[in-house]
Amino acid sequence: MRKYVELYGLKKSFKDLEVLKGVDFQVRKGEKVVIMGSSGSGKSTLLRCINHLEHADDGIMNYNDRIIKLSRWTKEDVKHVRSSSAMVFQGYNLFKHMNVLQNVTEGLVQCKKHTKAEAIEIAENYLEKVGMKDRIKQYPSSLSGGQQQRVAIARAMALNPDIILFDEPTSALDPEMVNEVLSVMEQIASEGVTMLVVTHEVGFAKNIADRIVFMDNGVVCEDGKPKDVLYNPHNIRTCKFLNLIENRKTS
Amino acid sequence: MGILHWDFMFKAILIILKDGFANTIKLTLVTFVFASLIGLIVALIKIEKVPVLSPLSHLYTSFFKGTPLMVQILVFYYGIPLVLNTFNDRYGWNMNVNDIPAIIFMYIVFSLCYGAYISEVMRAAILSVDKGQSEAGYTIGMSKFTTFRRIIFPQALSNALPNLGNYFVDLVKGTSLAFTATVLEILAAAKILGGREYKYFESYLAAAIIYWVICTLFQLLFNKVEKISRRHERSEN
Repeated sequence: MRKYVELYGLKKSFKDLEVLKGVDFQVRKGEKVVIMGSSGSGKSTLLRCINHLEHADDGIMNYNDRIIKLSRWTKEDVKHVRSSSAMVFQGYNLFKHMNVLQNVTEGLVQCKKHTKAEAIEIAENYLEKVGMKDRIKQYPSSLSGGQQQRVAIARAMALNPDIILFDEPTSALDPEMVNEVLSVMEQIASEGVTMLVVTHEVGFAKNIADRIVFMDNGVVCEDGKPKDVLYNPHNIRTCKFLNLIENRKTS
Repeated sequence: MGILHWDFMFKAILIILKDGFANTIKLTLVTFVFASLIGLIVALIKIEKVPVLSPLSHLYTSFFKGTPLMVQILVFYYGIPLVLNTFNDRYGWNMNVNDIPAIIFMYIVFSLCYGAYISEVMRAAILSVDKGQSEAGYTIGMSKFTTFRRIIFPQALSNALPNLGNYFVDLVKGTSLAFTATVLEILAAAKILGGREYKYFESYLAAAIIYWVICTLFQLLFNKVEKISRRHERSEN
């Protein structure tokens, strides 16, 4: 399969704190990659450097056959990446002043230049997929976290992106809502879109991921098939982290 | 009869409304539109830290917030004609300062003064919108401008409405200072009527009642608009 995103030597510091210390990382088209690692290991920052929510200090990215110098993005670079990617946030970030339907149609009308009628049709289609079609007139504040996140996934999917970046999509959810979001993610995983998912959900990683990338202290320290990374890790940090998760579950 | 001439009071309210109401409302509305525009632009300049313009904006708000409106009115009322006359002399312009109605000067002073206050309201309101909102806008492919227009500004405006309402009512009352610059508004009309009929107390009381009613009505209107703009925050549906 063709590589869709390739990162070389990605570095990013926040003031004196070096969060990413030269990350090399590739995603193929259609691949589902799960990024794991303890908090502060730079997973979210890695994701946010890809779509320029964070400006990296150094590194090169080849994004769908466009070479981007990560310390010097041009306007066209940003447009190139953002027009073919979408993101799902930990805090959902639905537009608070818009109802469920408007949240999904907004990008279709403003960015993809669909007519309003087309946008509504597409939006309703995706909202049906995530099981939110009966709530299209509601505002985000009247929805549960799980429902909001499902709308956010519909908003991302509706744009028909090549790649969706998931930044800890279930970390802010109550335990009983995690599954409804994960099952929606599993469903869209079967539809061929490239997914890059930062998560702690080992079950999801095991079932869905083509590859798991384990990050620690600003570098990638393990990268391979789920069964290799989860059951046969090479790196001591990976072992410790996986043990930690395992202990938490059994205790 | 008591201390009040009631018949005269009612008459006074009508006369004052007829003579002064139009200018009070004109001054209020025109000022509010321009002050809001100035406020928004200055707020954006400060937030974006635009070089050169940003320090100038701070100087501007500092001056207009740090001097009394009354003093600003006097400075402009006497200052603008001086400046215009100097330009007339120097560049051979032929602008007759006396042809410019006093209310035009007042539009300028009031807009600048209230623009300074509203810029602070706008700045706080824009900064209070969660960063995740603009990030969501960017990631669906919106430009910075579109994100501001479609996502940030509507939410900021709804945050700002209570304060904007307060400044609007404050402005209605503030326009009463324009009588010092010979603008015939409600207070000026009351003063003239009082002087003509030797019934100052009734005239000023009539003016007070008129201001009170206008301010209350506008406050109710703002409350209503605020409620509509916050409909998305109600948890029930």
